Amino acid sequence: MNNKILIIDDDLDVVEAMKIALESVGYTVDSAPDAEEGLDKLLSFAPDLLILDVMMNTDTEGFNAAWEIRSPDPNSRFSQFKDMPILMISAVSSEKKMSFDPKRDQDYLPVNDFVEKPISPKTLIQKVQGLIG
Amino acid sequence: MSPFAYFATKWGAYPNITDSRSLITLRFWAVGLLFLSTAIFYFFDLNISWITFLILSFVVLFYNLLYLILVNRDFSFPTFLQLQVAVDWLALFFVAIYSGGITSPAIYIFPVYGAICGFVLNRRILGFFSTLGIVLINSLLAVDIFTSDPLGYDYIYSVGSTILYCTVLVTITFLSSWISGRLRREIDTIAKLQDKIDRDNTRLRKAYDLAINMNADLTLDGTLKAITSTVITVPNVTACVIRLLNDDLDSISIMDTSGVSEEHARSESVKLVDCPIDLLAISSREPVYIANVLEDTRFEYKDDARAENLISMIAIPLITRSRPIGVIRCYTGEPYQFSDNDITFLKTIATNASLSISNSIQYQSLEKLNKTRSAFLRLTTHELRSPMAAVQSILRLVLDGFTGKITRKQKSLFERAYRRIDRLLELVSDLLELEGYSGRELEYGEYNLRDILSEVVRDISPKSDSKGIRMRVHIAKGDLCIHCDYDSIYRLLENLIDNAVKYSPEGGEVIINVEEVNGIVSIRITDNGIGIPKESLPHLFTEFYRARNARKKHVHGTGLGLAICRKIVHSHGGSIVAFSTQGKGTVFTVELPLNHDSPC
Repeated sequence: MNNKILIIDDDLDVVEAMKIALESVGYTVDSAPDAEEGLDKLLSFAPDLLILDVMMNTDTEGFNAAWEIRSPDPNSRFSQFKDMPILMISAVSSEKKMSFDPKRDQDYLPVNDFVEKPISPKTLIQKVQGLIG
Repeated sequence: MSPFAYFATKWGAYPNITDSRSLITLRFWAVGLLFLSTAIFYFFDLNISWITFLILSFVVLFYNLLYLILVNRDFSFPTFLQLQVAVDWLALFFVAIYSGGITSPAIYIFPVYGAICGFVLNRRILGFFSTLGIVLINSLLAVDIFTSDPLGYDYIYSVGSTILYCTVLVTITFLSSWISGRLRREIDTIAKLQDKIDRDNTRLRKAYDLAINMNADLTLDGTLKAITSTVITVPNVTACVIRLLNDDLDSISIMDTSGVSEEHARSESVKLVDCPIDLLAISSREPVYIANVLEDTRFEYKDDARAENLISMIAIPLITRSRPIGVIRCYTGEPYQFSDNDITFLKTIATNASLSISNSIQYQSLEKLNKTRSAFLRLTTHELRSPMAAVQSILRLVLDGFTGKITRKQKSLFERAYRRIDRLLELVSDLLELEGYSGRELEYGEYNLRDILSEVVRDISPKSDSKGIRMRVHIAKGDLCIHCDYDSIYRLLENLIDNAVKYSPEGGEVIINVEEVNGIVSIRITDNGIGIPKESLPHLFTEFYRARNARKKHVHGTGLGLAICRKIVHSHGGSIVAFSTQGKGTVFTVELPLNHDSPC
């Protein structure tokens, strides 16, 4: 198992913590501090799974990146990543008392699962393994 | 209606008296009397030809019917009334001739008719008809002399009667004219008074409308619009412009207008020194009245004023807390239109308007401040939470052994650190919530208290179950609709029930009672926990206050929960109280108004 994971998150400490956890179970991990750089890296690194933060430079940067990747446009430069699972991380649900259900909200939140901050490494690994084995 | 009142009303409508249908109808009384006289002459031998009278009666009936038809077809001409009187008098003349000449009692009708003429005709016409009356009466005398036997004719009696009739006719006619003139002047005065009362009444109503309208909207634009649009409905005012001083206090800008063109409303900000009228109003703090802007040297934009039909003007300073904030200008299309009363009234309106304007300005700046504060709090929350979450993520990594084995001592210390951060985050959330920033907009709606309570009880039951605490809920039958923000009420009940569970001993009992009394729902949460010391009760809802025994028990709490509860209850128009006996238990009672009007 040498699956590649890309993390897009502006909090380098959180990125580091996730990296340690994921690498400890054998994943190859790379990261980017914002959506712009992250989307470029997505093309070059071609990960099997994307971990995406919601609030970065703007409150909804993560959502926007997810929408761009999942664009229905056949000429989208991310068309090859249409089926790549996206795991979204955020503190949003506890802050805003919003409960996401990735299955129910598929239409406007094109992500496969959520993990909340603070991140428990065990939960993170569980969810990643659930998505890409 | 009494006949007097009837006539008074009819004659009150003096200018249209010639068109009065009912006045024409009254004529048929005279026709009736003529026919009655004919009958009397027929049945009693009075030496008067009843056939002549019958013919006369039919003639009078005929021309009166003609009048009626004309009036019913709304046909009229300026001398219609004069024609009527002339014809009547001729008829009267013949009635007198055929009923005894100069000695006929019919002559008495001349002065009576003259009196009526005094009321319905003006003086000049009246002079003509008096003369005509005198001519007719003298003609009667002449006819009488020529047709009588000269021998034995009592000249003195006949001539004397004629002079008497003529004098009475002239006197009564002019007397009635004089009285009616007086009456008409009185009526005019009353009409003027009525008009004034109507105008004052309208003004008062406007003031009332304005008082309501200008405070109905708290935004500055809304308030200004309410003022100008109401002011132009005040009698005499056709346009209204509000100019407010800019922050530099040296220039003035048009903020809102009603009754002028959009072009005029869009004028740029101008230096106060270039507006002598506004400057005078502001510096003297008194209204400036310009009776005709076209003739006043202080008014510079005469072409503009002519184009917009703004001819007379009052500029009233807007002053609040003894500081001028601008000027309200009221215009009308005619010169010399504003009376002292108008000025006083508009001044009163301006006083109220100033207050509303300054209130809305302050409200707007408060709103702006509130937005800044919200944005600041949002930023703070995010900025505080993110590093805390990062620390927790890292700690969790170490605690879960991803960085190698750790000793039991290290693990215990890291876990303490992790918990402290948890508490810190909780405190941040509570503080923000107490400050009115829960990170979301409040959404008021109609909700059933039963639903909120069941959700809270369901969410807390795992915790109470783990402590072996029984939760019993007694809830009144029927819908318990309250107008509320669902999440706030959820948070309120969650806080109180969670406290009850937290401070109850294992195996204890928490009872929740919900009753409705007179449109108020009362929620009572009773526990048999540690209770609250008597001295702590008054401070219970104060921020950061925690009762001594609660602190001792090492039960975790931020000391903000009950303060938040109180805030929620108050914002929903309710009340919250606590009763407690230390060592026995505590009862919290929340009362909230029910909303029976709309379903939930």
